[in-house]
Amino acid sequence: MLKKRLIATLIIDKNVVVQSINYDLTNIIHSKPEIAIDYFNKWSIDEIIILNVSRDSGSKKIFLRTLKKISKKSFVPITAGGWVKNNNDIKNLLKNGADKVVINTNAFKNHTLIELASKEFGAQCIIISIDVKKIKKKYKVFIDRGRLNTNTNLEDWIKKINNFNIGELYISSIDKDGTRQGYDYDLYKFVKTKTKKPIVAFGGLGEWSQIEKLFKLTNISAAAGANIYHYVENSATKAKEYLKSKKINLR
Amino acid sequence: MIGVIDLNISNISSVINSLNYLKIPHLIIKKDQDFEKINKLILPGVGSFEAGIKNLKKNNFDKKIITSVKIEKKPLFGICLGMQLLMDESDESPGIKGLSLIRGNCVKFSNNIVVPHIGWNNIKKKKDCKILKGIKDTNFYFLHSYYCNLKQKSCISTTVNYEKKICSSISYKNIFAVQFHPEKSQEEGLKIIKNFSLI
Repeated sequence: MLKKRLIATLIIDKNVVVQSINYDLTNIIHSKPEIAIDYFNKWSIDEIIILNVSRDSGSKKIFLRTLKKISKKSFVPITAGGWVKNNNDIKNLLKNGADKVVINTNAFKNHTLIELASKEFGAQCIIISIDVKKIKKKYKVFIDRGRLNTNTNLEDWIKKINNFNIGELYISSIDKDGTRQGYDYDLYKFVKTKTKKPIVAFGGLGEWSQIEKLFKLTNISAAAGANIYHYVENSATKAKEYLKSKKINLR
Repeated sequence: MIGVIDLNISNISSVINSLNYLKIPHLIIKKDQDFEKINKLILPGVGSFEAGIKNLKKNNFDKKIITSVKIEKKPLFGICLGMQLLMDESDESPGIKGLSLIRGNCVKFSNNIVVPHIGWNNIKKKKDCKILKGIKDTNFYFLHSYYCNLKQKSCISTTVNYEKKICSSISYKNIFAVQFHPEKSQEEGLKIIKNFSLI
């Protein structure tokens, strides 16, 4: 039976791991991301996502170096993203150790990019990430690292995505990001009715019971978290112990 | 010396990283003369069936692989797309011929289930094979939308359950292949790569 996945997200700005609260970057968590990876490996995290959130497009090169260092030590799947504009960017990420690539803003702006990318690298390699904020009871799609409201309803964007050949959807709640209040469960219930693609939830994880709630309420594939995995010692191991005791099907 | 075939569409670095970690001598096959230097082959790969075959053909690697395996009897290890490329054909790319080292075709999962099959799933052993030595029915990382439907069921070493029981690894003479990613499945995965290096 297919297991639910626990994913650690590393938010990288200028070569260091940073904390994010409602998409504002706050303090540095790790000055050496490759050390974080050592722990994740040991703790049996199921997957790692690393995102370059730097505002500076010149950060691409440093990010590739960081990715390369991380991938040498990681024997779980790595997804990388940030500043992906064309197939060449994807190739660079894959060459430096990513197994999958996540695209957000440029997927929204340029649908051809998604078609070309999945044709060349295979659907399973391409993940579309969507940043969502609830405004007047409607889920709206934001791009540009949560800065720009596209005024598009989430369901309309997902409807388009359903026609693309992609592997997964990584859906983040801007409202919940960094709050530790738990996932936006209604959001994922809603998304699940709109697509058959695998869904990764991100935003709000502060206690392991929130993962249990997510899996029990929504039937999605994976739960991602960022800050908690850095601040709690043996975090993934503890998470798995707790969740297994609650009969969540994990590896 | 193990040769790793670079399809130039996929991340071979994770396979290379695992070989480095295990200190297994290897080289990346870039031109057809490289085939003379090696005694074992790894065919890794993510990407589409068509792109995979096209890239093999571009460098004449398809013929080289067939000669190495069928005539020179070098052990071959296919991973993920590398396993599917061994088949006759795939629903993913109609009209494109595979390597036909193993008889069968690749079929898409039905619409009743979340596709791709992504994540950790436990394999079930059907028979013993050299690369699975010391491996129990444990979890490996899968990521695929098509699966291999073999004509000769005796080639199936393990199955996995996703909607139904499907083939998750193959062994046939000197040909070995896995649908999952051993290079991304921590210790148990590395054990399989190590086993292949010891054949």
